[in-house]
Amino acid sequence: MVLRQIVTGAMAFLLPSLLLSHQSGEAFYPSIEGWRISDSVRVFTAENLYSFIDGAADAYLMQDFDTLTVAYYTRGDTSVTAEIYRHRTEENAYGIYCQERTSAVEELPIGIEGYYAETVLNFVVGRTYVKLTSFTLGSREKEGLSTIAKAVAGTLDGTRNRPALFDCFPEEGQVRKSEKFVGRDFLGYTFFRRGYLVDYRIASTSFQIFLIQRDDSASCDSLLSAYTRRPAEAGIVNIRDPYWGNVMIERYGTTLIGLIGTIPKAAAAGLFDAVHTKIQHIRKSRHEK
Amino acid sequence: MKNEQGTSRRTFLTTTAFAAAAGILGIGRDARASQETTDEQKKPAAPLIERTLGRTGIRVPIVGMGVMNCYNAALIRRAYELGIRHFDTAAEYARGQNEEMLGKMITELKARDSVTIATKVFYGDRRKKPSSSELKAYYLKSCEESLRRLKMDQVDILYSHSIEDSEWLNNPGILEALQELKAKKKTRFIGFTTHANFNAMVGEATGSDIYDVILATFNYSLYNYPEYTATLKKAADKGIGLVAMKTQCQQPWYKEGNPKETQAFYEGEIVHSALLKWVLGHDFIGCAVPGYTAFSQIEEDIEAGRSLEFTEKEKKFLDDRHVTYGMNSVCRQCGECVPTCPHKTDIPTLIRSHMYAASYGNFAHARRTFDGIPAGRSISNCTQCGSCTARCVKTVDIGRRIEELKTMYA
Repeated sequence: MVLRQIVTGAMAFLLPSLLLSHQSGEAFYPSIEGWRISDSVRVFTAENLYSFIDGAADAYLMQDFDTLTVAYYTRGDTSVTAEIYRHRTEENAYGIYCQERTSAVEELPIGIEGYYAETVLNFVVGRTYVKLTSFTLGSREKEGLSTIAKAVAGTLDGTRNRPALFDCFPEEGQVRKSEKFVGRDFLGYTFFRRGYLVDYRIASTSFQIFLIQRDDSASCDSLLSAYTRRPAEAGIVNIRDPYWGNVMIERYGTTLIGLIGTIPKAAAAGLFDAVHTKIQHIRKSRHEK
Repeated sequence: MKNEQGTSRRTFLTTTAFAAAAGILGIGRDARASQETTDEQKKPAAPLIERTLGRTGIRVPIVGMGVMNCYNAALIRRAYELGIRHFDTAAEYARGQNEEMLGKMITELKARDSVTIATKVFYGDRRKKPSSSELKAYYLKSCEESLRRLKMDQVDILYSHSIEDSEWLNNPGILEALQELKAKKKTRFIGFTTHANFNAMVGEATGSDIYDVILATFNYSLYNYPEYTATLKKAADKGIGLVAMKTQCQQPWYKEGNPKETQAFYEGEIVHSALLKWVLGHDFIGCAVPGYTAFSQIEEDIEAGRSLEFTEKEKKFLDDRHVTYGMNSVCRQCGECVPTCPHKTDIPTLIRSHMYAASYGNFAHARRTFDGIPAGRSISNCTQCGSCTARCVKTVDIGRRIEELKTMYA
């Protein structure tokens, strides 16, 4: 039985190999003048990602990691490690990118977004997160990394826009680079699963706004009910969350809008209204397409 | 004037509202947020069991927190509220932001003097083969950066991360760096972490007096590995503090090792407390550091820190035939077969590739796994051999699986 399976499978095993050369990532590593690329591409899946990045692998797995390919560009005695992480969705890739991004980096217009910091240049395109690292480029580090980044970005398909729901957050007071997409156990609640979160600071008041989107309003009502422990109702509900403190939450269409923190009434109303307007705007834009 | 999104007037309102007196709560009706566990019991909970981490003298509750998956500082707060006092992070987690978040919350809780903080130095790309002096410099710099992010003058434990062979375990540059950092009191104690070839690494470290603590993979999938258990006990008897990680064995590399017919183990309810209690039931383990992403997980695991007696449900789970059968037939990727191969072929990865093809019918994954094996360590070694001499410390028939792989590549 096993042998028959293997012989049958050998056909399937060999045939996809041509396709897999592309899928496995070799096509992501273009030739770049002045740089030599490694002879082979290392491939890691969810099952062995830890062997490359150790405990950090779990954060990627929580963002529905699919595959990692690793190759090396060398020039003389310098080298750049190019890691290309593919995730299941664009939100997941942007989510892990944001998790590793700090505010103290130099932004670069590569893909959806990119940045340069000492020895690293990371960027995200579609559902792909790319990390370039070099310890040996010296004074030409940024230039070298940028050259490779642009070339690699050119091979990647996928959107150059961040996930649309981030555009529904009010701009005023956003803490720079605080956007998060969480792929699992959002806000520490397993039933929420995934969600979007942004930090705010206005005057001396800090708070957070979150958005959770589902396919239909009934699903949203289920989440709302699970969270508030009462039947879902229209309008904004004020919660005393045992872990987060004051939370205001409302279902708006297929989106749960939440605000974590204590802020003046008028301000809260304004923020919720602002989110409503932005959601309507995105819906209208999609409809017109 | 309203812009297209109607925000400018609202922006004005928002700002002026904040400028007015604060302290007015939000609008809407009040409700009580969900708690994933039942309401708090009124009777006082049993105290958490504590143990000492070997010769360090550090005394901690046996349930700690692996912070690595945590983006949500509220989880750290909750863990502390429930009595967790050992927090494990690393420089590489979220490019340092994990350390920043932990440091910020510990400061906010004013808890530095009552907790144990462990962090790690990880030199990722070992194909580069850095020199000892490069490694020393890297470790010294990494520790300083960790302290800066944590906003601490000192950590309690600094680990050399992911040690799988003697070369890295005994690297003079790494050892000099760790000992220098300890002498300068940047860390109270030094250690290493190990995820593969762990029996050999723990055994070798026990023979020296260099490392104070080992963060070691230890979980129920290793229940049938008495040699490793004995090695760990010997290390503890020698005074090395042992912290257990990967206690839940739910990462993909455990799931994938099982034949399809035993996947039911991973599809049904997993009794996490059973897996944790099994680990902590070995009293040579000072502490375990499971990771948490949900409040309910902390609240479940902390109970294992109060009593290690198995409930009926926990016993049933561990005894379930799928669990034990599944665990026993797994290639556990320990790497102990590699030294028994004259060519040092990457047998664990070849076996994993075989599993994808033969057990799962997932030939795409099998091929991707296979392609990841470095040249010189793959199946071309096996075609020269003729007959396989590699041996598995469990019962995996390496020779048969290699022959089947050769068939695929005939």
